[in-house]
Amino acid sequence: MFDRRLLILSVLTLLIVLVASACAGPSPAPTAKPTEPAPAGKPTEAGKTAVAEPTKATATQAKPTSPPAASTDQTLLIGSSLGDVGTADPHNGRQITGLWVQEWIFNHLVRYYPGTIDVLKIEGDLAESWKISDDKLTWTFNLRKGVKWHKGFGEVTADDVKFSFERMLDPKTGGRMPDRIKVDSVTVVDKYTVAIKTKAPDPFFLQNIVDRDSVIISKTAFEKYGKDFGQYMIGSGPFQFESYTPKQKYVVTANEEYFRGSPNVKRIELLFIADETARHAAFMSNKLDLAAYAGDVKQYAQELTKAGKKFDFVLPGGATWTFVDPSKKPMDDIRVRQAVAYATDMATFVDELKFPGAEHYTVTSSGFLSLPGTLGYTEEGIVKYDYNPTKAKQLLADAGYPNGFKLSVFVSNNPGWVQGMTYVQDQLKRVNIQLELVTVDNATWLQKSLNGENRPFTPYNINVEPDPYMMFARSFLPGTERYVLTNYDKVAELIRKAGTEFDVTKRTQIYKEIAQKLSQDAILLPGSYTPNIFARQSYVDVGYEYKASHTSFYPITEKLKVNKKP
Amino acid sequence: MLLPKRFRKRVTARISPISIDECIPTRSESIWQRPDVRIAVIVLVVITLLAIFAPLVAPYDPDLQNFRNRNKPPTLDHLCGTDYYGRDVLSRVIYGARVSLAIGFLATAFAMLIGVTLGVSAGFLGGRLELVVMRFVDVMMAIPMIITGLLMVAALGSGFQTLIVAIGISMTPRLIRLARAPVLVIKQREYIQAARALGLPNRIIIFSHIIPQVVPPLIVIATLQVCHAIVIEASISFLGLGIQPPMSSWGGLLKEGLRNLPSAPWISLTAGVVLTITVIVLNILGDALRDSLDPRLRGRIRAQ
Repeated sequence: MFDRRLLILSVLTLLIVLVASACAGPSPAPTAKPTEPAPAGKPTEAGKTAVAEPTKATATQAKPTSPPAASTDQTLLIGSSLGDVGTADPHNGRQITGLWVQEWIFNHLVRYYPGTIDVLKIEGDLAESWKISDDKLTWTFNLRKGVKWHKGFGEVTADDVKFSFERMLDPKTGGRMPDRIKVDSVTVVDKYTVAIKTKAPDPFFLQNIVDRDSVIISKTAFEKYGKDFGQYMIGSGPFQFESYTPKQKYVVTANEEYFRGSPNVKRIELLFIADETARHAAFMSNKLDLAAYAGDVKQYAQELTKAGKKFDFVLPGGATWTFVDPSKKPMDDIRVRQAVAYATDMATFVDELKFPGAEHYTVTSSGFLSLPGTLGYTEEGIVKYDYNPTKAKQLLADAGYPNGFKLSVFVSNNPGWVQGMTYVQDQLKRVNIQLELVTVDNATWLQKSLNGENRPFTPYNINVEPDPYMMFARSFLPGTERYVLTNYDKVAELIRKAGTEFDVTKRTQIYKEIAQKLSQDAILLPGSYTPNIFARQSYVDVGYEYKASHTSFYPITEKLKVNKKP
Repeated sequence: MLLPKRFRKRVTARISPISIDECIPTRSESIWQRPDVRIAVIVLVVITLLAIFAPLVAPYDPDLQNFRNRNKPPTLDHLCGTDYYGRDVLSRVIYGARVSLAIGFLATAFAMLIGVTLGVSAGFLGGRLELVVMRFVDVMMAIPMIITGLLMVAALGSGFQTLIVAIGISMTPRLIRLARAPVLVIKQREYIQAARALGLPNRIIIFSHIIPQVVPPLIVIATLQVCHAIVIEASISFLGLGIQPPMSSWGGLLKEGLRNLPSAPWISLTAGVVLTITVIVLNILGDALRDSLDPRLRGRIRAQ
């Protein structure tokens, strides 16, 4: 009876598995692989806290020294969706978590006003004031006096700034600053004054030295520790380095001598919990004070709301676009491009997927890379391309494709991309456009796209930045990184003009023109745009009116408070 | 009827030559009399018919999305619920059977064709050919089947045809070995030497004397290989490199379902259960075929 017993046994096992999985319900299995959060984009204001009660921001930046709150526990536990900080180098924060750590331990010369990413609200950090020369080449920064390095490494001086800039601009350091700013020389004028001369007038200079990999480190400490600097991380920020266990946690403690005042929180532990389910469980059981959420997070929303947790939509997020190449058949005909745009019902897609309360999880009409909150965002003159399959079919017929056509597209096997493209594929099928998807691994996809094999139809994910210049330039300026995704140079002149325009108002106007042109020519198909989602316990007070952050995370400053843990 | 386990173990462990007694043709032991085999055959036939007549059986177009009706639990309208895009899971599983079964059987057939050709030639002709083929097989055997399959997919690109070739090739080394081994024994037999002495060309010896003896046991192996092929396809599709969207296969469905497991477990469950049942059924059939084709075992049953 061996075989029968085997059969019965198998069936029984199957049943048990069935019952078990049915009972387990919504818990096991990780969801979408967490995609790497927006690498330090930096949009302007925009962005609202969903449920968060905005605390009144105290605008003074001098020395607000708030007395330590009467909280029982002054440790902040943060659950990160990424597995590590990437590198321990303050000038090469490969992962977004590396940037968070940079922001806690170090200062920049200037910073965004906490909770915003408004390029017009950049304020002094280590620099008290700054000015730009008449030829727009030299930036002179006057440093704040009496700012102390952690652990007795003395005062922050112009020498440290010069040293830091030279290090971050060295291509060997591996950070992203050499691509972002082109510096001719850094001169120490006196102990508290430093002059930085750029190779060409650079309207984006301040934005770039606020961002990732541009922190000021202690020269003395670096000379002492050399390659091991990552194990000491001597900075001047609100928190000082305590320990780092790769892939487990990163711990910092309060810098009581911080020039803006002693931090309310005395210790921060950044815990790397890549598994979404585990992180969610830890957060729900109050073992984490702040937690990042990545991937298809809608499923957690209800549970979080029910448990009285707060969640915030951290702007800027990422946007998914499909680039169309107008130089390739059949996309060379504007009617075909319009037809494709009209045939794709992104509004339903976004509406179904959006996290409750996230009004910024929005559908974006074809044509502009500027999104709500970024400079140059406009509705004016933008062609909407609302879903209209009848019109799409008519346009196709007019263009000479009454029976549609066939296209083959390579897609990275990143689940999020496949998901979006499968939806688009079904939408286009309804107007007789057969979109053949060929999924390949990410490296192959990139190679094929860069070789131009993916034209005329390339989906792409873009991390939104406060000033869309870089996004425009990379996408539409011949010879740049993403230009290969399309072949459209009608806006190249405008982008070049924006690149040298110091006046933000004028620049904004140029961005509007670019957006209008892109939408009229239907170069980008309607896409969707998502903020990063973070949850916090109700007792965590961010300390600022929270709108957006270039770190894709809450701004953790000396003002953050853990009121009382239950 | 079914053979007691303890007895069968003793029999199969024996390596003695077949006795005259065992070789006497007997009433063919009908495996059809075994109830598990009957159930297995019925189940397999039902699954195959469902796959063949999918357009008639499936309640919905498997690729038709209804995004407003996504991730809905099973109802009378959608017996197995809907998936991430609002497609009917049952219809996708039925259509997925076409892909999974086709890949299972075709890849095995492909592997058999190459495996038997190379294995028999290597075994019969020997010499340098054998050396090259067998060392190559040794190398291939060192790499797990799924890895070979993935490598092939990476090299050939994904898609239905390439998947068949990729999986077929990854299963070939095992079949080459299994085909060669009996040839080594058979070619020493007197009747082969007699055939040679008569001046028969190799071609005739191989086709009329060797292949008929080598193939039946390989058919048994093949049924089990079909399971392997289905599972490899599932694994490759699971990694997102198999069947291309919007086509469905069981592995692809498992993968899609896994991403939504907390909110919509019915997607993975339906596909997983059907896949499991098919594999079990094929295993039972393979096992039964082996029992019935094994002359030693058959003789022993008669002796009972």
